[in-house]
Amino acid sequence: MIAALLLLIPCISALALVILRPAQARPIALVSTLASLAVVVFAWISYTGGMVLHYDLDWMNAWGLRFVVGYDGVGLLMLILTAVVFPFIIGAGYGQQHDRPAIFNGLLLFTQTFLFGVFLAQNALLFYIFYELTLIPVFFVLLYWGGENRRNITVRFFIYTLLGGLSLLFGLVYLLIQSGGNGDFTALQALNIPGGTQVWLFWILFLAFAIKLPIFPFHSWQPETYYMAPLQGTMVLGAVMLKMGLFGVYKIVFPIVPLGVEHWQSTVILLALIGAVYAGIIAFRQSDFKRLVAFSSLSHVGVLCAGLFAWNTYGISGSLYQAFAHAILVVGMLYLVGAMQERVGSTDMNAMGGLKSSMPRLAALFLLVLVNAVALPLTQSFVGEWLMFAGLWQVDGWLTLLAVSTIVLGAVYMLYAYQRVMLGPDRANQQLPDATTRDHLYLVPLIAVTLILGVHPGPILELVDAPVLQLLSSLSVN
Amino acid sequence: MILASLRRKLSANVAGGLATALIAGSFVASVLLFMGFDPTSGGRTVKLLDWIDVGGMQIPLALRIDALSLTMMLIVTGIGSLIHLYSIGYMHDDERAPTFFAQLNLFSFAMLMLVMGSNFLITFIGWEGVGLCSYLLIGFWYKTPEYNYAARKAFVMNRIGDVGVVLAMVLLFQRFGTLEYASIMDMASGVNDPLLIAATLFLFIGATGKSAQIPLFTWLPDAMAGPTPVSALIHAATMVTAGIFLTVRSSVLFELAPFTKDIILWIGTATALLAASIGLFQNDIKKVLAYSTVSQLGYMFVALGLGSYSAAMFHVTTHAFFKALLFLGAGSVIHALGGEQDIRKMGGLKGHIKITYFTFLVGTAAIAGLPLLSGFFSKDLILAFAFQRSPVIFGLLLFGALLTTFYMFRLLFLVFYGTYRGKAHPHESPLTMTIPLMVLAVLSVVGGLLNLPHLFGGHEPMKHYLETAAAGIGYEHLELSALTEIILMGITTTLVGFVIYVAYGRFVKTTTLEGEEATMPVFKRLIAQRWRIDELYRALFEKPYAWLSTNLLAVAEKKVMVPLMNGVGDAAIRVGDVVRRVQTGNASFHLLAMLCGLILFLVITLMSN
Repeated sequence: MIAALLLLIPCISALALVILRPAQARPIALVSTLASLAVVVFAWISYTGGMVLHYDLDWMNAWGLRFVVGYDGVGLLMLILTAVVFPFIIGAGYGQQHDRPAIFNGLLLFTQTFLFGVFLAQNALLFYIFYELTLIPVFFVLLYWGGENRRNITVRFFIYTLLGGLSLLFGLVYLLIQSGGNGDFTALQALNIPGGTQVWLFWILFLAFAIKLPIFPFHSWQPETYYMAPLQGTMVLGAVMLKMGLFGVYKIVFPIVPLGVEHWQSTVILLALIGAVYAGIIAFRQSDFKRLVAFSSLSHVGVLCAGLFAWNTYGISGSLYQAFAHAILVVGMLYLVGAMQERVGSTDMNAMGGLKSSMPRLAALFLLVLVNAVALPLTQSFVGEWLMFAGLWQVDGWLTLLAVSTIVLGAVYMLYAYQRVMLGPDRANQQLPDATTRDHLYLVPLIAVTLILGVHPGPILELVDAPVLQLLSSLSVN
Repeated sequence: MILASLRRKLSANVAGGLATALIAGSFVASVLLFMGFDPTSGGRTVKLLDWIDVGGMQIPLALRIDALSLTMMLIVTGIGSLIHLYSIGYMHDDERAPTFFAQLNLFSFAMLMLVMGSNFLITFIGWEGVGLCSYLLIGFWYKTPEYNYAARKAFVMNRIGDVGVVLAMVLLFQRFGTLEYASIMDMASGVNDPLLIAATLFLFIGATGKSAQIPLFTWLPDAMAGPTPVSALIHAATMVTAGIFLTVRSSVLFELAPFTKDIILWIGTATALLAASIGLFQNDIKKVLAYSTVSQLGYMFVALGLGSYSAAMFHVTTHAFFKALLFLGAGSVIHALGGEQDIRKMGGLKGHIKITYFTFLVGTAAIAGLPLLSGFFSKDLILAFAFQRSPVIFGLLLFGALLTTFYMFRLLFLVFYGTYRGKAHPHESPLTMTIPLMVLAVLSVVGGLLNLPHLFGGHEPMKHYLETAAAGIGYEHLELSALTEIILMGITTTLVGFVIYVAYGRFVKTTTLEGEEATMPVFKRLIAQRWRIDELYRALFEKPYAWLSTNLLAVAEKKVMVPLMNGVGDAAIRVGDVVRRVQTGNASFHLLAMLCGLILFLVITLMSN
């Protein structure tokens, strides 16, 4: 029931929006995402552990494609993340001017449907289909509502991620042949692929996720796409879509090619951390607020991926926990970008500065979002980062040093950005409106989530604890 | 019991009063805890709630009440209350006073978390929290870009130290499976493990950031951009002693790592001397005090390096008294002169602001270590330990102490003696400001009683009290004969007296002011320009970092990574074009992808058959 509702609610609303094109598209979309949220919350409350399977139906068995949907604790965390973030993504539209809002919001809801599908799928081909389907609505969102040079950038983004997808498909097909045409995750995880094969198969499977996240050196599509995309499009990409990459690694790469992971572990961690440091350094001199958020996200994602590949309980749980924190953070930061753009008319930080006098409340809200970005203790990010550092330490001390150094880089670029936006001498003839009720309604809940889960991370950590232990112990048995 | 001091925005005076009442309430609570606490019990842990609990890692949100945390709590809340009270007067005219008090209270909360945490991670909450508050309060007057720069500099330098703390924590967790102080110290005793050297060195890196030691000390003088009560509370009495606190907390580990202790000893000595030398020629009243703080913190680290944890804590305490007093006195002077901080434009103020003058005099005498004042006992204890270790270190520290005496009396004389050289109309500060001065002056005088040595008929009560909480104190032994101690004190006191006489001749009989830096001899100019360390750091780190940031984007990203990605994309498009010509019409990219997949599938199926 839950799985059906999650797939149907956003899908039906999206169809309704696209076909009927009502005038009140945004409130309808908002209600739809809130309904999904309610369903997920219900699922969370009634979750008692283990794998919850909702459907196990034959479909195109000859192709290994079966309709198997359900979730374990990690899947549920991803569903929660998606459901929590989407109302904010839709809500961010209230400051933006769009033509054809019905279609725009419809596309966003389609994306949500497919994302739910990805996190629910327990069959590899079903996963793949949803995974690629998410691209289609996002493609149109970027292409029709994007900023300057959108055609070029969108096409490149699309081709590049599609290449990764093809590689994944190739890998899955190979696996299907090995398993005799059974595409269920349980079947694929039971395969005992020879170590030598796993070494190359690892990259075939991982490439798609490496591009999606993205990690260094597969990242170059990210900054320009984030910048060019409409605000809500960037939110979808940064807050939720990239989590498909993490989830894919957890769901497909880890259990199916563990020997490959073992072989490439330090390489991937090193690449991810090089990217984290690289993007962190570049972010410092970015003078555009939105680009800065893009590079900052890139830097955070590098650490996320490194933590995941630490491949022990602390690293994986920390990374998954941080995935949630990062989603909340990205949405908050981008909302601030939008709020500033509404007031100043651009995202260029040279046009800002000295704004705290006219908008002290917005400055305070910014600061509260920022403390999560620099992972101060008692925010959500700190819990995740601490666990990831503890996990990485078990792998290698030098890599840990590299990872921990990002807390300095983050402080450098974030505080500099804050100063350039808010602090400094007052600007003459610039009396801009302070935080509105809408800004408060938007940012206060996000900040509250950050702080509550920073002080009391238990409910989320509980979700990931058991599945992660199970995954690791099943690997050590094999 | 210990309440997070919550804050509400109210009018300036009400906010100030409320904030003061809250912190004073914490002080009363601390005193009650202190009275009801039996040191022989060792201490107890109060668990508030589970914090992190995953995969076998259990880190509760728990507080620890023992002799060490109680000592720090009393300092933080006691001096904190006085400084809050003082701030009511000092910040009276500032329109953002409620914000100021909110942040000051938040600081007190974070500082209490720091000292009360029962494990490293809780201490780290406070550790980062005080860093944030310090950032906010240094940049309190946010319209001045230099202040914002100073605030960022403080935060970033602290963060560099924090990397050390984080690494120390993951290392200790890996080794001991817990971060609880009590458990780690139990398990660690007697362990001989090179990991402990690494862990203690990492902790010390954190301490150099927070407590402004070489090489991470340059943020503290810049931090004087904040309002003066902030300088007194955060950048003199409490936050900057966090590094010393953390070391004493982990004293057992440091006792097992003599190598680290030697490093601490030398870094402390070098910082004490370097900062004292800079203090000689500064003209900003707060900058002199700031370098003095750096220097005194150096003395505390020397004590730690010598393994004399009780002496370090003793100096933390007395320094909190007299340095808070001096800063608040400086604030009172600045207040009296309407914001003037340049001592060349002061002079002759002792007739105008008598209370400030008298209390400042007491503070100066205490920091110089005039006999029987608090600074005398605490500094002499460190010097005695140094002599026991090596006369060379003793000599260096004594030299530093004489420099301290000189620059402090120079400050006193130039500000309060001679004739007034400015244009303002000095007026004494209100009672809310002078009462804290008087209380602190009394404490600066009698503070030595807290740890009165045997020589003066005491029995070092503070040492024995703290010993119950920091086991490392049990290892310290001062084995100098009474005669040696008396001779050392005699030498020190005589030389201090002589230096005061010289300073009197130079700054009272004839008022010697520093001219422009350009006219100074080379070596003196170098010192006056703070050994040009700020410039060095800017050239070595800040500029290359900015250059790197710009060029990584302009060259590495734009010239290498992006073309690479485009190349792959273009290649894909060309392949697509070929396929499209084979097919008829305009297949979308996605259809094309499906097609490729299908072909692959067929190929593989055929091959595997």
